[in-house]
Amino acid sequence: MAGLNNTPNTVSRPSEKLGKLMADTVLRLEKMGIGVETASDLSGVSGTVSGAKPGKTVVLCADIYPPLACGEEGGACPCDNPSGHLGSAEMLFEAARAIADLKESLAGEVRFLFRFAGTSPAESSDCGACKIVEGADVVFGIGLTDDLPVSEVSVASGSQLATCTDFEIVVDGRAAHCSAPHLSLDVITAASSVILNLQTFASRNNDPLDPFVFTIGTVRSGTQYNIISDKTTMTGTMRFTPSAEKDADWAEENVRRIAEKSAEALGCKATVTFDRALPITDGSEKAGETAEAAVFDLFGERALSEVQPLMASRDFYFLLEKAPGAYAFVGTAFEDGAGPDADARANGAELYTRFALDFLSGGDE
Amino acid sequence: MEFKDRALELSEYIIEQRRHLHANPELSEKEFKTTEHIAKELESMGIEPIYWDGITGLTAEIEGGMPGPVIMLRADIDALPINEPQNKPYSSKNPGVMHACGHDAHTAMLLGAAKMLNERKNELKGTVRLLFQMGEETGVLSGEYIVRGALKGAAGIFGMHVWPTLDAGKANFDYGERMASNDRFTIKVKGRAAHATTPQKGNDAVVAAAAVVTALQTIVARINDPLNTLVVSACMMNGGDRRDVIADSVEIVGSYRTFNRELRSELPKMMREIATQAASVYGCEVECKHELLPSPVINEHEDLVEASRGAVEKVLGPDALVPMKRLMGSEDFSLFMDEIPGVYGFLGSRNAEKGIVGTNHHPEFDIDEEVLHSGAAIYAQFAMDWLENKSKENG
Repeated sequence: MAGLNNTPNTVSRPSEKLGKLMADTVLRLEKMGIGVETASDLSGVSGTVSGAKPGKTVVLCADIYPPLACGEEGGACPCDNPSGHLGSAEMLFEAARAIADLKESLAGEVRFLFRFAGTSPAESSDCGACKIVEGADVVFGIGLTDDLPVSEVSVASGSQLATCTDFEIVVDGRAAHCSAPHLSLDVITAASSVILNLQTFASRNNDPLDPFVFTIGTVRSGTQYNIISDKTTMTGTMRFTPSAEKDADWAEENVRRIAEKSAEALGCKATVTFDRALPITDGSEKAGETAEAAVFDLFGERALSEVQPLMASRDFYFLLEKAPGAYAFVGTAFEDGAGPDADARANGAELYTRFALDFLSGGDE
Repeated sequence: MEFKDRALELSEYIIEQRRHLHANPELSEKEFKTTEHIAKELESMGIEPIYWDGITGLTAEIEGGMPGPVIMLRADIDALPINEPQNKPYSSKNPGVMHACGHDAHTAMLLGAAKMLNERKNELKGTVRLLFQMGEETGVLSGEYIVRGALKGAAGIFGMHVWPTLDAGKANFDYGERMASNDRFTIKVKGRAAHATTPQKGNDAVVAAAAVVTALQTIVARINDPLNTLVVSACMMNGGDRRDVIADSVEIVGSYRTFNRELRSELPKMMREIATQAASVYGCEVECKHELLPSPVINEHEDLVEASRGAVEKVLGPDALVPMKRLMGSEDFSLFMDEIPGVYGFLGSRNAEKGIVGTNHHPEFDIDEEVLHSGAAIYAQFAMDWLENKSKENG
């Protein structure tokens, strides 16, 4: 299989903690009697259970955030709940164990993909872990969220998922000595205006009933304290639930307008580039229906939440560029605040298992 | 013989000195060979160099025949990290280093002045202390001589700069504000990280920093008296690690410049208050740091300014003094002026007919070498006259 080989550690050297996490993942799957492969770029580990009979291929996917990406070593934590990522992986281990036991009666193939989210190889649709999804009939992922109560699950498929567009804004101006501001076109002042004006996208352009978030995560400008900088580079991401009136084009047009005009007002020039995630939507509806039906069957009709959390992991979009799929958010919140997440994990493990079995036995479309 | 005429005789020597220094430039604090060369020249004149512990550059004293105060003449000696085109017989032999600010000229002129003053030391009514100063381009290293006691006992100090926008044959020693202060500020905006999709759980340091930069504009536009010249420039803004994580820290670094001492002393507090309030709107905090670099250069001592102007008129003629706008640039000579009375002026070195029009800190910078002997004579004439005037005052 392209992008995969059987020995970890052949292309690049992982950090000690990531290496240990990979080795543990491989070991646990092997102990279940599941064949394991490691992506050559170390973006993930996958195990495969092939049924006795031929059939479709389902990929179940969970993120594992390596400790480094989760702030344990001083970096900023991109999530609220580092243990939540390990929680997703625990659910998938449980599902793998259950499905491996059913191997003899299985028609088709189930792949268990553990993705090392937040590491640079995983943040690309060319990643080794993404390639394992190619050719699959469906991909299904679960994330834990404290935005939902523990008894609820929210499901979104393909085009229903919040759209995720990364962007880079470069503001160009003219450098000058700091004592001669009149000879400069000051990009830091212009970029500040761009940043502040872009806040009005969420507050003034977006329908208040629709969730929308826009974040500039990094800003870089200048190398010397006494030279007015001629370039500011900003990167960020925006997420919203698309509709007929509001698609990715709508969002990009607004960002471009605000950034370009704000910079122009101060004599500078803003250039905005977008990196839009493009999920495959054909067939995703079926994935969504299968997941929703599984939630009904397992937890009852009231468990299906209408709240659609804004997608927390862009990484899943790279998988959706390879195969149709759905994503479920399993609630972890208790009324009195934090509680044991064993319930949520059990729910998630059952949902993974049920989804795979139902999809494989679902017959031809 | 008048200094003016003797300097003309020494013109070849002074040009030779300038060309030697120009061809062998050294960066700030690394002026080892330059210091050695100056010492050798002074020793050949019978003047003893005095070194200062752990730093390059040197001082030397020419004790007059009559008792009196100590007046200091200062030349800076360092070069810049600029690559000079190899198009002159005296182009830099050190790749990437160039005398692009005329300090080679200052050093050569002061060597010429030393020779002339030493020849006539019996007439001096006091002592002339020469200071060949390292590290001017750093903006603060003049202070190293102060802490080591190089100014001890001196009653005044004189400095001048060859100036690329002033024509050869002209000079400027105006009263009042001449060059700006230059202080560095660092504002660290501190927020709280969160995932990009949960802004409610974080405090965005990028947005707060943008608000701080925007609010800083109002110091010049709304808070400062428009008659007080002031520049506040944010030159660096860096923060955030990932595009999908709300940044918890952004650092803004920049400079502020003014000629007004009172305003300068108020700026750190003013900036801290504005930055704190602007950031607090977004739930962020700030840490402000200020590094005081050169003070403003202000000519405010009549005895020094008049002696300088008189020296220029004697050497270059009665029409030589011309007005020149204040400069937003800075000069660490001001640190000496904070300690003892000082005067600072500009000697024209531009010559359009000879094609010498390049500005300083530029690879095409050059000077009309015909001004060097005049500069040497102005140094010497100033010292002689100021000591003479003092002796009359004390008469």
